[in-house]
Amino acid sequence: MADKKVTALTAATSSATADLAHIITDVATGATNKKITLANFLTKIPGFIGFSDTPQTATDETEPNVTSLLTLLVTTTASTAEMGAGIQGQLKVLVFITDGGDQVLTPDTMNDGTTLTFADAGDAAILMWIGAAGWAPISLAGPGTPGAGPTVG
Amino acid sequence: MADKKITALAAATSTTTADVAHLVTGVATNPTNKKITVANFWNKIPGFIGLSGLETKTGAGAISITVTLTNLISEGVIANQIANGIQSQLKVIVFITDGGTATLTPATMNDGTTLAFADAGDAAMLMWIGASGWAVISQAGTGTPGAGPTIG
Repeated sequence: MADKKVTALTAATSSATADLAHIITDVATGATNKKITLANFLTKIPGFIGFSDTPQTATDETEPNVTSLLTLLVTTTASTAEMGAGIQGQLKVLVFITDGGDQVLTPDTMNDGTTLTFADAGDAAILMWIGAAGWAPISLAGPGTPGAGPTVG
Repeated sequence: MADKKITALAAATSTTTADVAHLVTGVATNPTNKKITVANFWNKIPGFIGLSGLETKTGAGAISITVTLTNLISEGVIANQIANGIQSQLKVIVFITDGGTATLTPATMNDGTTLAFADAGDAAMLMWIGASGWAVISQAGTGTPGAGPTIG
């Protein structure tokens, strides 16, 4: 293949575990070009995971967005908000940081439930979009006794 | 651009969703060079995610903020600490051996000051949410629903 800039290549819009990426190993001592399958790249992550996108702060009736991983919920009064649909396997983290009144979140589509009520500062939830059934709470947490956290209704 | 070793290129220390990476698709049948945006790469992860780093922490003291998973072992009542993280960093702590309650005090914690791991199997996932510090986004434990570490 003739030399070509990466930006000139055909675009892939998804990837498979057998796809290959280019990696340089032993950078400090004896830099070596290697290929790596995405399976090996993703299942042996060598450090911690971080997300660089700026968290959204959603106050009162502001809907948590579905484009950032983390939304910080703030209320000045009892409030309700909706949330749009995600994409397959998407994770969404919600942390209620300022309690001026309950925040009742009603996702447009929710698995086995219709609402999540955040009643106490510190209440937190992780949701995953599991497909047609919608957002599924896969973790609930909150301060106080074990079992505290937002209420699924 | 003249041919250049990748190790000689300027280093990026972070990425944006619009950045592109080099990918080889159709490996088994018809290997093809393609570009892929960082957004498409991370929004459509083709398998599960695994973490090769593991800290096994026995006894009191600070737990790591450079690996995601810490397996915590107590040999008596102990106190542990965790330093500040970076934006949206995830940290998973699993209390695997209960020789006494392990009380974790993050340097900065959202809506709380401690996490007490009292029973083997207690587990927590923390996320660094910014200036407010580590937020507990998941608690789990063996036994009845709602079991897990206690936030104090």
